[in-house]
Amino acid sequence: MIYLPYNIIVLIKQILDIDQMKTNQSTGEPITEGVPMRIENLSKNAIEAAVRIKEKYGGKLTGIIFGGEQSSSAMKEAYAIGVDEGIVIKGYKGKNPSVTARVLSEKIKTLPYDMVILGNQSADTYTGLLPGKLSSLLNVPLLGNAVSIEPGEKEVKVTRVLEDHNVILKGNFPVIISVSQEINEPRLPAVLQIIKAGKREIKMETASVQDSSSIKILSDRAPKSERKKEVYEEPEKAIPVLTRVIKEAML
Amino acid sequence: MAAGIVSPTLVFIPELELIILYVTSFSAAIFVLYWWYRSYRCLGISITAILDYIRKNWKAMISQALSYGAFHKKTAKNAYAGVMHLLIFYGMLILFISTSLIALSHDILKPLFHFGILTGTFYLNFEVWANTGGLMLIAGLCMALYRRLAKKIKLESVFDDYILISGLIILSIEGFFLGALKIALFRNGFDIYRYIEWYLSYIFPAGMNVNTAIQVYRELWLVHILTAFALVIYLPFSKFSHIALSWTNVAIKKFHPRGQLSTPFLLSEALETGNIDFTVGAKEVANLSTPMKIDSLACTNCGRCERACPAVLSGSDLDPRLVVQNVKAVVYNGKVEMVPGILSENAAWACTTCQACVEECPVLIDPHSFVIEARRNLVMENKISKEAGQYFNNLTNTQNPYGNSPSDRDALLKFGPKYDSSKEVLYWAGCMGAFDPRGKKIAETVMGLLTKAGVNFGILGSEEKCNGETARRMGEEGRFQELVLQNIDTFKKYNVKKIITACPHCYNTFKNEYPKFGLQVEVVHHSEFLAKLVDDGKLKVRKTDETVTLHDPCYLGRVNGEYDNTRFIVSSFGNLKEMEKSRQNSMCCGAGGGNYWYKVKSQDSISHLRMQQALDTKATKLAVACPFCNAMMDDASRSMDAQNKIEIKDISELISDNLEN
Ligand code: SF4
Ligand code: SF4
Repeated sequence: MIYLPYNIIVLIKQILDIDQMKTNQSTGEPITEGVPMRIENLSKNAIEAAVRIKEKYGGKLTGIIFGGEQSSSAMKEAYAIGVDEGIVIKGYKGKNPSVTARVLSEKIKTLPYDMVILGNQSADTYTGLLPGKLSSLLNVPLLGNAVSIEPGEKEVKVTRVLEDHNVILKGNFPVIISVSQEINEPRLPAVLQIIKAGKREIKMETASVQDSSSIKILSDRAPKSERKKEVYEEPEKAIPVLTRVIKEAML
Repeated sequence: MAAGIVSPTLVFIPELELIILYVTSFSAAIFVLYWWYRSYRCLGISITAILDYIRKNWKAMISQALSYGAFHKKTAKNAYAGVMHLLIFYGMLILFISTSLIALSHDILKPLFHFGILTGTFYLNFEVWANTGGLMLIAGLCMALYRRLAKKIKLESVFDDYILISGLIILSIEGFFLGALKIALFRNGFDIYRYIEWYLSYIFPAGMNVNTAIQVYRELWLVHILTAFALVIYLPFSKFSHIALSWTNVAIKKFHPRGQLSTPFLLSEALETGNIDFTVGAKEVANLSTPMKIDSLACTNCGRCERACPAVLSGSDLDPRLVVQNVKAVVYNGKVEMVPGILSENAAWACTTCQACVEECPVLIDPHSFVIEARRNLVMENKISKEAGQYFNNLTNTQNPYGNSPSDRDALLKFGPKYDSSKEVLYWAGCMGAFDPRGKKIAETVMGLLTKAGVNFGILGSEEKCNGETARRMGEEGRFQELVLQNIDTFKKYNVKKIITACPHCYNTFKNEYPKFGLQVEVVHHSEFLAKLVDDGKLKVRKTDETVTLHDPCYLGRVNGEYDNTRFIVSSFGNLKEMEKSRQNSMCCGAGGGNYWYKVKSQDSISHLRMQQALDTKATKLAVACPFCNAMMDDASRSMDAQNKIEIKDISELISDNLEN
C-alpha cells in the first residue's frame, strides 16, 4: 500500500500567553485574568512541520484542538498557516493528560490518518505525557522528539535529538510524531490571512469523555526571586562587580 | 528699403521635396500618437479616464507641472545639471514654438488666407529668439555630452544617450548652416537679427556660384528634415520618451503627503462587510497600480536616486534606479515576479524608507513605493526573516516591538501625570520612550521640561500602543491597521486634541497616516514644541561656545519638511556646524523601515557612514531628534571608538543641559 499523498492530523494546543502573565507580588499567585490566549509554540512547530509535508507531497491536513469556545481564534490562525480542516472539541479543563489523551484518541479513531503530529510538550504544564499516552491508546508507534521528518511511500524517517547524539528512526504508517522546537521556524501568517481564514468553517464538537480528574495541583505559586536591581551605566564599573558575582557563584 | 521685412519662404525647395516633408511629418505624427495611445492602453488607462482626471484636477496639475516641469524645481538642486536641463529644455521649447509659427504662417495662413504673421518687428524678434533657442540647445547638449564623457559623476550612460545628444547637436548645427547659407545668398540688412547665422554666413565664399549654393541648400535641407524625423521616430524608444511621460507623470502625480503610504485596503471595512478578496502588494509587476507603472515609464535613468540612497552607499544590493528600470523594462507584459525578478529579497528589506530617492527624483517618481509593494507581497507569502516574524509577533501579543509586558509602560507615570480630559496636550512617549533605556531618559527629560514650563500635559502609560508605522513600512498592513484602530479608540475616548510625540516616526504616522482612518488632532514633534517654549522665554537657555552638529531625522526633515526647529534649538545655546549632507540631503541613520529590528547583508553599515560624516565636522556634540537615530549613532560611535570624540544628545537633553536655572 502506498500512502502518498498523506492524511495528516495535527494536534494543536491553546494556552494562556504565559509571557504576558504576571504573578501577584506578595502571594506569588499567577494572575490569569485578562491574559490573552495563544497557540502553544510547539504546536506551531507541529503545524509548520505538517504544512511543509503537505506543500511538498500533497495531502490533507486536519487540525484538532481540545479546548473551548475561545479556541476558534487559534484554529483561524492554524488555517492561515495551512491547516485544511479544523475541529475544536470543547470541554477542556486542563491539568489531566490522561483525559486529554482519551478525548483526542476517540476523535482520531474516527478519522483516516497516516501521521499524527504534535508538539512533544507544552509550556503551561510541561508534563510531556500526551504523545506516549496517545500512542498506547491508539496502538500506534510514537517517533518522539523529532527534529526532521522525511516521509516515504510506506514508511517515515524521523531524526530524534538526544542529549549528545541524534537517532534516526523509521516507522511504518500510521505513526505519531512529536516534534521538538528545533524542527523548524514556524511561519507567521499576516493579519489579513488570518481574517481570510476566519471565514472558513470550523467544526465545533463536545468532548465525549467526562473529566474525572485524579490530579490535584498542590501549589502553583511563583518561586520568590530576590532581585537587587542594580544598574550600572558604565561598563568599567560593571565589569568588576559582574566578575566578582560570577566567581562567587562558581565557588 | 529694398524689400519688406518678411520671413523667406521655402523658395528653393522643389515640390517633390515638399511632398516628402509633408508625408514624413504626417506619418511621424501618427506614429508618435499611436505609440502614446498604445502605451497608455497597455497600462489600462482609457482616454475617458484621462479626460475625467484632467477635468477634476486641472488646476493642481498645471501648477505642479509648471513648478517641477517648466522650472525643473528638482534638477535645479544640482547647479550644473540644473543649468544644463534648463538650457536644453528651453532651447527645445523655443525652437518648437518657432517651428510651429513657421508652419502656421507658411503652411496654413499663407496658402489659405494669403497673409503671413512673420513680418515686421515681430519677425525680427522672432529671429532673435529662434537663434537664441538654437544656441541654448547646443550649449545644453554640449554640457550633457561633456558630463558623460568626462565622467565627472557616475551616470548610467547608454548608447541611447549618445545617439540622442549627438543627433540633436547635428540637427541644430544643420539648422544654423541652412540659415547662414540663405543669408549668404540674399544678404538683407535686417538679417543681422539672426545674429548667429549672420556671422556664420561669412564662412561661405562671397563669390559663390548661386546655382551651386542653391543645390547645397536643397541637399542640406533634405538632410535636416530627415534627421529631424528620424529623431522624432526614435524618440519613443529612447530615454527622451520621458519628455512626454514625465510631464504626464509630474502632472498626474497623486496629491498626497509624502509621509503617507498607499492604503491597499481598509481593515475596518473588510471586517464589517466580510469582503476580503483583494490582493495586497505586488507579486508580479502586473500587480502594480497604473500610476506606479507610469512612474516607471517616466524614469530617465538619471541615477540621482541611486547616488542618494543609503542602501546603495552601504553596499547592499538594493538600487532604487535599477528597481524602477527593471520594472520599466517589463512593464507592458508584467509577467515578472517582483522578488526576485525586480529586486532580491535582501534588497527588498534593505530599504530604510528614508525617501532620499523620492526627494531626488526630478520627475517625481517614488522609487521606494515599489519596494513597499514587494514587501507587502513577501509578508502575505510569509517570506519574512525570523527577526521580522518576532517583531510582528510581539506587536500582536504585546502591542510593542520588544515583547515586553504592556503594563511596563506605566513606569513612565513616575515622570508625568496620567492623561485625562482636563489636560491640554498628550505627550506620546512611543515604544522607545517606554522600553529603550536611552529612550526612557529622553522621555523623562522632555517631561521634565514640559513640567518646568508649566505645560498642562499627560501621558497614556499602558494605554499607549505602538502606532504601527514600522509594521506598515515592513509591509504588514493588517497589523498596522489593527493598531491604528485601537489607538484611535483611545484618542477618542479621551477626546485628545493635541499630541506631542517623542519620535519623528510617531509624528509622521499620526500626522499623515492616521487621518485616513479617522483621526483629526494637531500633532507636533517635541523639537517644535520645545523650540516654541524656548522662543517664548518659558525655557531659558544660556549661550555656550560648544560646537554642535545636527542630524536631520528623515521623517522630520525630508518627509515633513521640518528643518528649522532643531536648528533653532541648537543655535540657542551653541554654534551649529552643519554636516556635508544636511537638510533635505541629509543621510539616513540606517534604522528606518524596520531596519532597526533586523539585519540585511551589506558591506558597510549606514550608521557608520553617517557617524563618520558627523565626526568630519569636528563638532564635540551631535544633536539628534529621534530615539532611533540616537540608538544608531550611539551604536556606531561605540564600534568606531568615537565615544570620547563626540557626544550624542537628543535635542531635549541639550536644552535641559543648558537651562539657565
Ligand atoms: S527610501 Fe532610502 S533606502 Fe529606500 S530606496 Fe529610497 S533612498 Fe534607498
Ligand atoms: S527613478 Fe527618478 S531619480 Fe531614479 S533614475 Fe529614474 S528618473 Fe532618475
